[in-house]
Amino acid sequence: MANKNRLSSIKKILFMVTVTAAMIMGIYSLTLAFVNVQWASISTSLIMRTATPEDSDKIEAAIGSETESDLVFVVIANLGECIEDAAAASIAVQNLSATPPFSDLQTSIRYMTAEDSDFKVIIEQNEIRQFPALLIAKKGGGVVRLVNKLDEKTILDTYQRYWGDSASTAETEYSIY
Amino acid sequence: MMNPQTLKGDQTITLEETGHTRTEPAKTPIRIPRGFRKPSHKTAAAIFWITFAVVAVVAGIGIVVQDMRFVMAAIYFAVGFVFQRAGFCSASLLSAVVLSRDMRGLRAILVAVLTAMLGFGLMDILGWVTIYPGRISVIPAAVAGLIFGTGMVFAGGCISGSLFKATEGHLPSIIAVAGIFAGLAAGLSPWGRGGIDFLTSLSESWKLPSNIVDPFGDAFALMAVGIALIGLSAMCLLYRRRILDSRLKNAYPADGSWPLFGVAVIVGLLGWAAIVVGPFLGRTHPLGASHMPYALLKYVFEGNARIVGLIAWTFVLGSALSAWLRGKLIWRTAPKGMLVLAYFGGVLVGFGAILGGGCFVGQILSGWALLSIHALIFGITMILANWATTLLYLRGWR
Repeated sequence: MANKNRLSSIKKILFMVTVTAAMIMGIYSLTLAFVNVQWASISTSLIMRTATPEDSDKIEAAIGSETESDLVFVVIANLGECIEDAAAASIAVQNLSATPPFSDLQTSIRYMTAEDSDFKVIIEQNEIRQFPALLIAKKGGGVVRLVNKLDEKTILDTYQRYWGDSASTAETEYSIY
Repeated sequence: MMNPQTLKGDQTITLEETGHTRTEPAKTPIRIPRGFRKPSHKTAAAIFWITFAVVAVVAGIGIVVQDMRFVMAAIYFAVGFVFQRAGFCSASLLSAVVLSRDMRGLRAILVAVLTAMLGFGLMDILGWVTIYPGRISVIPAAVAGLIFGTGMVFAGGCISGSLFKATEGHLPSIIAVAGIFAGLAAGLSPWGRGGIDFLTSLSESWKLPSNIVDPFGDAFALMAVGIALIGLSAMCLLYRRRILDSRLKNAYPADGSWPLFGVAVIVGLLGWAAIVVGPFLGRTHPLGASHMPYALLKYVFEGNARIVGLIAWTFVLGSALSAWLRGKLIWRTAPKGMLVLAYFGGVLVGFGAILGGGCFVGQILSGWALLSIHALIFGITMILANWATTLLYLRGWR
């Protein structure tokens, strides 16, 4: 009986230690999350547009004179803001467009600043409120907007998600879970 | 004649002394429901372990030859088995809260979500999976939740619940499944699409984020792990006596059902497997149920469908096996009015699923675990609609 009680106590202590440790780890994770938090917002989330007639107009506007390219990157920087970020984004796009998986596509890059004549039209049509921004437009239809986070990995992930080899993983508007 | 109520202490009387006479039992024959005979306990255990081994081998072969169809088939087979084993039907679990103030179902759902969330967060930290932002469409999610939650009470089950009950031979659920197909077809029709597009357009300009935290940022994984660990440990502390009490260890029901909480954890773990395997088959979302009838419908009428939706039908095989081993594979019917209502409920469930982009499994068990705002809206409205309908229809506002 005494052994049974002792075993039970040990079990209880082990249980409490495990649960308390899990609770502390949870609080620690949550604290770290709040420190690193980047609340999802319209400025950070990716938006996929399906090629509706309205969006086709936006694509055309974004592509501008580059309509012959399969994939057009439009790097948009606002003068006086985030110049360094825009430069970094340009380098990321440049590096990426020269390497697979884009190598089989005819790609072009367009840089836009507030000095461009169609700057205002494009930021209004694509509801861009933060800079730098990147529009990835595909000739076949669809445009993806990226804001803030414009490193190579994010751009590549975006491409793969919507149009790449694993493009079938993209959940379409009508897909259901 | 003596009155039994006037007896004192150990005093006893015979039946004759009370003035009553003994009546013979009713001669009407008892109707034994038709069904498959339940195997003996030993045979059932042997079948279970052999099947478990076969499914594990099939999944293993799939991993070795890198054909994830086998693995996904095994996952959905297991999901079907455990859902039936515990009666993990959202309609019943949620309605029980209103009908009998039984909160076990709600807590089990929470355990499944938190378990899945913990895995998604950890695997995201380790870089094993990429969490993609789901879609966000506020008004369709809210309306779909209301339709789905109402329909599931009339149908007697959500999509997964209706499917596993239908495999048991429950006629209302079979009719409900037919209704679900009709509802999905209605959603796919031109006017259905038009309606969905209209509802989508109403909230299109709201521009809400699709996830609580940017899924491409570091905070997502940390927040998922944090919420899951705190939630699970808090539940362990709340129910520590039940967890630790060894006397309850063998207190499983005689009908062979498994405890809800155990099954909830298994469902969460199967969600981990599904989110790893899914991308190999063109699916970025973890578990789901509505994509099964949706894929079948697309395949029959359009000739093409996502392979994962067709593979997931192994869910039904798992459910059927579990039902047989539990002796639940029995043909059960119901009055005509109930069958009509089940069909109507099924139509609502099907249409709600296509409007909301998912069902209980896809939106709550998986979507909540991914911190999806669309799934949160759908899930909350679905639960509220379920409770309201249960209160009005099943309890008659009492």
